[in-house]
Amino acid sequence: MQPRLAEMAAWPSLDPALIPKQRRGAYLRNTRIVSKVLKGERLATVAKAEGLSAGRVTQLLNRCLGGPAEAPPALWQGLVPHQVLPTDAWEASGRGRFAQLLQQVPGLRAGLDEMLLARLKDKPWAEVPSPATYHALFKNLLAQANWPLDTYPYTTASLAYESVRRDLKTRWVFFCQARKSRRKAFKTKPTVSSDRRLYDRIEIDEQIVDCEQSTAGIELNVGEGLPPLRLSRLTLLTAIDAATDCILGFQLALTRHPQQDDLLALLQQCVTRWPPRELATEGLELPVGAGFPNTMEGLPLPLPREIALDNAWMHHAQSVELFATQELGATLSFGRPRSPTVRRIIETTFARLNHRLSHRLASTTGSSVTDPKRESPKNRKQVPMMSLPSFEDALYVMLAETNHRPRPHLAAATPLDAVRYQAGNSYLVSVDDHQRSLWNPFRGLKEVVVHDRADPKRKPYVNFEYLRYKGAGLLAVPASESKVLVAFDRRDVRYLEVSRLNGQVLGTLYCPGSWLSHPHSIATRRHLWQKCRQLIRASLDPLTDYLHQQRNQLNHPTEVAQFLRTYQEFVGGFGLPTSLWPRTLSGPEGRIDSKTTAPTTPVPKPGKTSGQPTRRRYWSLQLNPGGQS
Amino acid sequence: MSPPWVILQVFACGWPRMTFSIDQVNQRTVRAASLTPCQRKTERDFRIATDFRVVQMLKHHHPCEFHSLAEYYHAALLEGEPAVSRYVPQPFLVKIGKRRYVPDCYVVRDGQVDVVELRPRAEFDEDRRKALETFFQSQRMRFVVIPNEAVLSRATEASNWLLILQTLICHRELDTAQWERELFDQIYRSGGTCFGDWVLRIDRETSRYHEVALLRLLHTGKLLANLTDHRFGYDTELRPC
Repeated sequence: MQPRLAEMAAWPSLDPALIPKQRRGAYLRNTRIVSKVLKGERLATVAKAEGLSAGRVTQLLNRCLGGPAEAPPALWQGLVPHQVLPTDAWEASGRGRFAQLLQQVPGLRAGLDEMLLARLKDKPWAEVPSPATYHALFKNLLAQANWPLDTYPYTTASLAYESVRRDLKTRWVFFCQARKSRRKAFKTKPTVSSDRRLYDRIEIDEQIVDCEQSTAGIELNVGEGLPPLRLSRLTLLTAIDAATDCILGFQLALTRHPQQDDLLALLQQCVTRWPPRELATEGLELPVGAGFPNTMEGLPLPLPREIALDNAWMHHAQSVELFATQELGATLSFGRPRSPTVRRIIETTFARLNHRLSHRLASTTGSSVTDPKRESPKNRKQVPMMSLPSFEDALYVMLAETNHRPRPHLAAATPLDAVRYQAGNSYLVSVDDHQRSLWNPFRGLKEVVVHDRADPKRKPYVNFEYLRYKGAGLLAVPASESKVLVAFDRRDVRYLEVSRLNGQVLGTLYCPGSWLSHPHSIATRRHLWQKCRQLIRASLDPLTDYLHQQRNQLNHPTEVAQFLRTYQEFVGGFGLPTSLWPRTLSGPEGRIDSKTTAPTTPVPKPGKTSGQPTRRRYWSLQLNPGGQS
Repeated sequence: MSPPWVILQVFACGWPRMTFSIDQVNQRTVRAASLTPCQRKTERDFRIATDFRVVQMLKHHHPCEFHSLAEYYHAALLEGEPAVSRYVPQPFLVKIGKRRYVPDCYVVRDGQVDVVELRPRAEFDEDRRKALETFFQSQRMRFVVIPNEAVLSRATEASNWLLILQTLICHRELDTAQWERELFDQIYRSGGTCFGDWVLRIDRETSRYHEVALLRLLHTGKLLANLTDHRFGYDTELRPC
């Protein structure tokens, strides 16, 4: 080192303002360290004062004052963090030899590229490129070209391994980008955004919520109360208007695998009027005014023109398609596969939800398994502090607040302001309130065959979802007709409304009495018949026994969520938050509690329940011509 | 014409690939089990591989399935064409040699049947096109290839028709025959009117019959409106045909 360089004042000046702001702090610290050392302080003392290791101080001194003898020291440049310094002269003289080699050796460049292109084109013979395999091919190609052994790269110990590795990285990025630029992915919106108006396009998607809750505070009518237990991650379904960014509704499904019924519940929530939800959690407050368009009288209810979904199988369900196309007159648009940016607004909403709510809780899972926000193993052994009812309230408030937050692209208006403005100025498709009240997305129709009409000793019946349904109305079916239409509610298939194919209503059909204890959906019945057939055979009341079986197997958070979902369905609260679940049980005489005394008591048939007047049943065409009992 | 030949190409990997002369396509016959137009249900795998859309239209009585935006807009434009009495998306399956082919649309326009295929820049294999044209000509149909760009350039018009269609579908059961006659007479006498003159912005329910009647007149072609430049709305001018 030249003696004059021991004084930092003698170094050529470097304006700290030229250094990027984020690196300037580290630069000034490095300057301070070198200055102290040059003034004679001990390395260890300086390192301790600045919170670094002594080795790092030495490294800094080497960077600014060291280097090859023939080259001048880097000085200030060596103190700039992440500044790449020129290396030794030998290496500098060797620069470009690899590039030259690629040009000189016949077939080398083409051979290496062919390996990468084969992989990119997904050829069956392609090899997964890695630095080692790429280098092996490099050596192989050199050998095939009979490259002399006394020239580069044979003169280096590593056979240009590092150059090959860097070449692999560069070429791979180059080919990937070239391929992307050639492929014109359909990610543009179908219409120009300025032409888009309110409810022109509604985006719907699901996301597994990034935090877990507990069952604390949930009131159930099953035996003794439910202790606080950890729930598995639930699924949030959300609908948002693309033109105004206004969230139209949300649905929290108590499962990680939502089904078509959850989507139907969300659609129903969006297109019908609901009162503002009452919050039970202390400290939470709704913003002034309506939180959602369907909770405010002055705003038009959504009638979407296009419902944008992804390609999840439940979105392709026939029930969803029928409701959207026949009742709403909307277009179901599933978009191209693997193109989430087409529905960027709903994806942004989920990111916002994570940022403002689910990632703020200690019981969060974070965005990935390596996310530092993720709940610690210590806390995972305990029940989360956030209960499900509180989370539902927090979610409601957060989404309502989102609708009240000004947006830059809406000229600083809030989504609800934009809804209000567009509702007054644009022509929207609308229907009368009466017609809207008739919409029921859960309603289905099916044509079924009437059996046993010829046998005078037996009652006619129809088969529907594994069970026989009987009712007086079937007697009115003319002998010339073998089929009838049954209308059902997907959430409760205990009863069917039957009619002739010409539309004549014939009355109600009932499933066997052992299946009448609780409302249950088609999905639950199918699950029971496909997965729990032993239980059905052994039990006189399969529904109650199934619920108690689940109640006794709450060992895993998934089982807790499954139990709550079943309970929600059995009390008639499907699609409702926990605070709105009916407190009285829907089954006859509150049959869930009766398990504690009589587990397998057969359920009385409708009309035979003690304490109720017996309903008259006619089994004669003369007495009951229209099936109206 | 050069005779058909077979070229064997062997690649570096050692896998052989057979390349047939395209001239052979001409010699293949076009066959169809039935030419009765009935929408073929889209296969499950194909639904998630395309830009799939389902919507209820008026000139086709079942929910229409479309595999691209161009097909979707094309159907909307057909709805707005009074000359078109009926159309069927994905109408039937034909076989060209061993290859299966489903046209995009079957259109009945003034009694003439068009079998339509929508392609980017109207690029369609020439030999297959000739084979199909010959085949459909023998069935008194016309095979037409329409470029996607021609349809997508009319996006505003298609979007307006979709807006009108949704209102009409939601009010399918509303009987407006009397209102249609009265409104048409009045508009015919006055020479034109504005949609907002008959439909109240504040109270839509009260003017529902007017709204649906006007849109039905528009759909049947008795009224005309400029739907190509601007979004349909209260300010849209309606004039008799």
